[in-house]
Amino acid sequence: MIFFYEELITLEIEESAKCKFDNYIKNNKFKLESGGILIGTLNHAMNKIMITDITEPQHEDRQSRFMFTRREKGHQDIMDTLWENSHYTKTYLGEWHTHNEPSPTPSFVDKRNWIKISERDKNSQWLFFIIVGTREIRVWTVIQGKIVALSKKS
Amino acid sequence: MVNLQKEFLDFHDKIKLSDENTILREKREILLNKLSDNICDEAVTYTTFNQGSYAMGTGIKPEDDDYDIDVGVKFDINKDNYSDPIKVKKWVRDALDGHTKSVEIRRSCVTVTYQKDDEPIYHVDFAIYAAANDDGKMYIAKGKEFSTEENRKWELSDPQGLITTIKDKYKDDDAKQFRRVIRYLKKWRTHNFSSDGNGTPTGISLTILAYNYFSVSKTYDWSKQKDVYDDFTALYNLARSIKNSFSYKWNETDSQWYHTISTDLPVEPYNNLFEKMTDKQLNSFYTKVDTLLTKLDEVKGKDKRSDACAVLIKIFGEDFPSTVDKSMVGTSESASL
Repeated sequence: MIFFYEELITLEIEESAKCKFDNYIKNNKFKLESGGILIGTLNHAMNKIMITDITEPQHEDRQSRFMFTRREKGHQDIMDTLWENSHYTKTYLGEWHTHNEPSPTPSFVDKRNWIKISERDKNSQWLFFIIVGTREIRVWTVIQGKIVALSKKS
Repeated sequence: MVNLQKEFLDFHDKIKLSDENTILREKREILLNKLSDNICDEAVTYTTFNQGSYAMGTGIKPEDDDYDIDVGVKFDINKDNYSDPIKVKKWVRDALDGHTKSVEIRRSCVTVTYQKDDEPIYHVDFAIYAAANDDGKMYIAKGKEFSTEENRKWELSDPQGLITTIKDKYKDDDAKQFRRVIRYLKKWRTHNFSSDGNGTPTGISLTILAYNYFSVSKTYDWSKQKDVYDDFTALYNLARSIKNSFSYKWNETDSQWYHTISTDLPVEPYNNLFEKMTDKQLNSFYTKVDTLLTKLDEVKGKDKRSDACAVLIKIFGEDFPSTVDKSMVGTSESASL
């Protein structure tokens, strides 16, 4: 599954990661909001980013019908393992969560959160935010403080 | 310990001032043209050459954006016909005067200072030589414009011999490691000595210490069929040899023991390059070399790349690359209402 924003960036979600998202849709797992982090690799030369792995809700996270709060614990451990095993090429690339609506749109809390995460120093220049809806998956990124939606390549 | 060769090479790329630096070359060319256009008729023929660290391939970028360019001007004159070397220096000064705010005669050169708005500062130092002498040797003009008689003199000098001596000591990739290690030492100096006064060893004195005590550190990798260089070990061994070359000496005036060092220029006039430093200053130099070694030992003991780099950043400053041993995930919150 490939998304892009103008000529600037291409984002590919690898099959294994996509399967995890698809499972939410297939099994209609939307009663509680779920979420996690996006992990993948950057190819600066080609402006191409691959999402290779995602994490799913961990023990410390808080899930409710209309809210998901992700903690650091658990997710950071998974990130550390992938970081080392990939010889420091796989890195944190953003966030995903579910919305119980067919074609999802970010809420005010989501937007504020995305902007905040994009301003963190230690993060990669490109970060992506995915919302998995009951019918489709949508992707956003933040460019110069503004949230923009990526288009899906058909 | 971790292999840090890549980090050292990245560090070197960041700090080196290469001969191909176009801005420096431009500034030099402009002044050389000006010199040939304006030099007085009395001045006889001359040739110019690059000297200084930049010509030896051991220059580092200045942190304060204060660039030094060293140019040698060889006049085809016999020093015996010019008892006053200041006269010859004035030929150059007068030809360049008015080019920038400041052209001044210093003890060992004529210095042109460039400063435009917030651009970096450039000093172009012209060292003036008499090159057609009875003994076939070269002499540098020393003295300021209003120096007394005894401070104006022609001093034996062999700047080009020095460059060749340094350049020919090693070949090819060995020579590259030699020059890299000299640059590391100079960067260490920038970060560990407070002033530019006599308390700081000069760039040339560090270069000559490396000339005397450096040895190539490499191993042959049979699978890749090539030499693999180890700059960390080369630097470590050099620092240890420098430390060992100090001797312990009683200083009458201070009534104290000091670690002191001396090393001679390998060409004319074969002077001790530490002659301007006091025993006390030399002792402080010794302490700093010792600290360098302790910190390098600390690097050896680190298993994590980021920890090793953190120590090296303390030695060399922020130009040494840091590596992250983590990709931070932070926290996140979302809501659908």
